Amino acid sequence: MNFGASMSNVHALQGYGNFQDTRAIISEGSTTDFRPIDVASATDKGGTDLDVTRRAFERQNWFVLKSLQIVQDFRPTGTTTSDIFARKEDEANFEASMGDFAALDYLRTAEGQIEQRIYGLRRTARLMYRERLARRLEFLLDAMREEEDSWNDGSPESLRHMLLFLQTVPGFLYPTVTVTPSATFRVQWTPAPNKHFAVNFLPSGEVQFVVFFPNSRHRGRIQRMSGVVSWENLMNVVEPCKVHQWAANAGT
Amino acid sequence: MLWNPARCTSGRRMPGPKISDSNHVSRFCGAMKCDDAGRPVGAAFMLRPKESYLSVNWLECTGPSSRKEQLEIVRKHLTDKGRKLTANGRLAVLHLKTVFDFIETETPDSRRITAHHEPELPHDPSHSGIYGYNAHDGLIGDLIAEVVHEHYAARS
Repeated sequence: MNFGASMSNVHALQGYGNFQDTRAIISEGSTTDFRPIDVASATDKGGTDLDVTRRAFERQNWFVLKSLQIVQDFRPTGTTTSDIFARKEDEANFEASMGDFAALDYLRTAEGQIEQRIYGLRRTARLMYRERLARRLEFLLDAMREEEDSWNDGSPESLRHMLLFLQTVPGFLYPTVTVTPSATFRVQWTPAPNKHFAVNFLPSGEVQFVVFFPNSRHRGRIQRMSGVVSWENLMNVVEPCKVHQWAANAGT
Repeated sequence: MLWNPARCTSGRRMPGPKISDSNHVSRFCGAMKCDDAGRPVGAAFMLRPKESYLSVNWLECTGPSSRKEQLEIVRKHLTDKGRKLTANGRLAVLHLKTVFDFIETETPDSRRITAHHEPELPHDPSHSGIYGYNAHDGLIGDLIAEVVHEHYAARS
């Protein structure tokens, strides 16, 4: 976001506020000043009828002139070249401020939040494959834009849990990242047909996991395990499957 | 989808006619459900929470015998009903008997899944469904992905 533009937008909005105030004052002046002239009450204060009438007209004109002066004081536009340029600048700032509001609205959408998470991944994540992962996520985001109903409000939260989990297993190889039909993010490591570890990150903070691993007692057989746990407990649950040995750098 | 009251019992929709195990089906897999190499993975065969079956297209139902022609017709059916075939999407072909046997053997509860013809007239007469699992069965999607027979570009 362009914070410089935002600051000038504040001034633009202040200017807009003044203009609104001016309009309010004019309106107030109009209703007060253009009342019918009470000639009878003026005559009681002394002078001829003509004098009274003239004074009443002058009094009304004074209010009219005063209103115009107020307009002059508060007018947002001017007749000089510099005033016109100032007005154009304010209009441009106001348009920019509307653009910033649209950007804020975008950042509240699932798509905007996913983009923010990718930005955060590039800037802060302690992952050796963070740039590659960020590029993959951008590819997935583009694919999600292409397909209908491919994301929902839970998608950014799913991505957040996924990124947190990956940072708890920094030694793991770069995973295959996909998006499920429920618009949640899923990672998997499959170095061999009998070694498969897939984790689907639900928005609630739980994960749906699947592990295929070699049967240590029966050579050639594959054991399979699946379930739902919180992502913080996942590695404890799958520890007997020795996922660390083949999903991490050292053991592949 | 064509609504057939004869296939309803107690408000729940009954599956259509069963498809023989010897047949093949194709499944459209978007780019985000394929790995970096473009191969469909488990996510491509998972269900949404409210889905009762996996949407596929029955290849033998399309008429031609060659795979290329069958897939061409499937592509037409999908686009006719408004499905956008993305550039990086894939069409995964499954041999039903291979899938059914593998699932039955490899699941702890010896799960039996079945395929039924669910035509979506008038645009997608080959539309079918694989029944027998739900969105919570994460394992089944990964097992199906293991026995993908062939896969082709979604766009010809």
